[in-house]
Amino acid sequence: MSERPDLSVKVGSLTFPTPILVASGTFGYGTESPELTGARELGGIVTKTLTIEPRRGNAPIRLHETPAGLLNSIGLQNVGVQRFRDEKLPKLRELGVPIVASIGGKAPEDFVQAAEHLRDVPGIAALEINVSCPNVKEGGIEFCQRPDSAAAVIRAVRDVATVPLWAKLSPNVSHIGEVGRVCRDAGAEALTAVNTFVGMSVDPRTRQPHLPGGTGGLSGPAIRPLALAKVWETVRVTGAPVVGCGGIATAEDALQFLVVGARAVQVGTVSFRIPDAARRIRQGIEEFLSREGLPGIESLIGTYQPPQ
Amino acid sequence: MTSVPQSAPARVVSNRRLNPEIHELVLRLPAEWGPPEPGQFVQVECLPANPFILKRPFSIARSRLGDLGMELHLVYGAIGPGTEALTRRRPGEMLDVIGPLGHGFRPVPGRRPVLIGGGRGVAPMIALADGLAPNYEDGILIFGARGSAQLYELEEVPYPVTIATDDGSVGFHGNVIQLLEQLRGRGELRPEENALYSCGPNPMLHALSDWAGEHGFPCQVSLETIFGCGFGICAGCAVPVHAAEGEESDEFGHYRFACVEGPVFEGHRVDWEGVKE
Repeated sequence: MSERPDLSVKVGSLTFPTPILVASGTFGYGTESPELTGARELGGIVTKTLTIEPRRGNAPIRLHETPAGLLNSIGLQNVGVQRFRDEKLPKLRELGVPIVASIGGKAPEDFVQAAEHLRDVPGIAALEINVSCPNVKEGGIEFCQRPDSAAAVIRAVRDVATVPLWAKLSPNVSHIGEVGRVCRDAGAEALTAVNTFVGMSVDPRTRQPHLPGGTGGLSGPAIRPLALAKVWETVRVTGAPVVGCGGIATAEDALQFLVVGARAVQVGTVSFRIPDAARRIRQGIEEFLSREGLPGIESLIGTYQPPQ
Repeated sequence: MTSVPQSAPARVVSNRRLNPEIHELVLRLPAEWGPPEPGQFVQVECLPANPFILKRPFSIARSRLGDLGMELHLVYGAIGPGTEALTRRRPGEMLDVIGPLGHGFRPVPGRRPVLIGGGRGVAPMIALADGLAPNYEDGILIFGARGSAQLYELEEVPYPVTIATDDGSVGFHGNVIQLLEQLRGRGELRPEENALYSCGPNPMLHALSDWAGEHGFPCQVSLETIFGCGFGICAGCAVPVHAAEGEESDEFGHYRFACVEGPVFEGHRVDWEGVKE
């Protein structure tokens, strides 16, 4: 009788029970309908991005569906880091799943303050630094498009944080590997690649954009091959542990990211369509490993055979 | 007690056109699914498996527990690629359904119910009439539409139905507000005796909420917005609301999620200027 394959993975200094996490902004605070989402069986939950002050978010309309994709302009609506810590986190911890808190801000001081509120708070395994939100005009995206300022944020948070830092990278740059390398050198233990692609959709009848802000962040299967190429580049250039993200909807998709070297993946938009998609993807990976006769997921990670 | 939402396979029992703009889909779910409260909704897979497309939200027109399971009646318009695809689903096909979802209507104790449905928004009014009738005998249902082409036969509604059409082709000649105004003028509606419940196009709900506020009627409205997930994880379905009296700022800074805190809201709490009409 064969044993169940070992799904546990190391991402930097942390171990996760499975490589299937859920992505920031696509799983609320993790506590919404856990029976529906199968949240207790996840490898980890990355929270909505938390800011030092609560944020109202952008005016509707915030979503526009495109072929195999979703354009969003949520604008980092969140309850603020203090209310998260005091009200959401206790319930989230009860799920018994590793928690990665995503933090964001307009300036390095905002990130530092948010990190200070979460310092030494039990149950937070890592901080994911969102230096790449495309929907906050004054905020995130600036940081990641300029490697020096992204690095400045990472360095500043590094000085106050007591847990590993992950830098969430924007794909809207020419050389994601370079940005990743600079973030790694500044103290990011792992790199999450990628956030959404800037996208746009226009109603030809009204001549106006479907989203009031004009552009939004594109997610969903439409971006999966784009994201995979960015992940491969980040893995190759940085040598840092990479958490892959972008359009993953099936076990087959997740396996592609793991094969090119991502040490874990984050499942996002598909959870809107199938609330327990991440759980199903984990099951699919287990079945794949059993079929292939592999003892565990580590035997598959980074086994990509690039063209000679 | 509100039912815990579940994701479940539903069998298409029937899917038919009720008029040129409105379709009715009857789904059968496992008997243990739900039961839904009036005003709750479901997220329905319109195109099975591929290509990737989000589920679509539909209010529930009727739910009945039978020998074969829980039957849901949904009323919808083919208004985009999702609902267009839904018109092609045939009896026997299976579709994933998530629900029951959202915060439904809350009966106002002791008030005679006035249910106002605009177009296909009449659907949850039927569920509400079914739910209220055992305790509130003397309700009425107003079905408003642009004209006869937008109406359909409402079956077995426990309340008398009054029709209002903008073009006067059937029933009262005028919109639902004009009809309400007439009823109020005749003393058949009184702010201290009645409560209004409604679903329909946002401009109608806006006008109704203003009218109700002006005359002092309690008024609950079920809002239609664009939903990503339907259960609170995507933050896509924000509805701007006014702060309640004495309330400083709430956790969402006066955006509420239609999927979990709605789709039913007190009409006067909605910041209609910010609602996409």
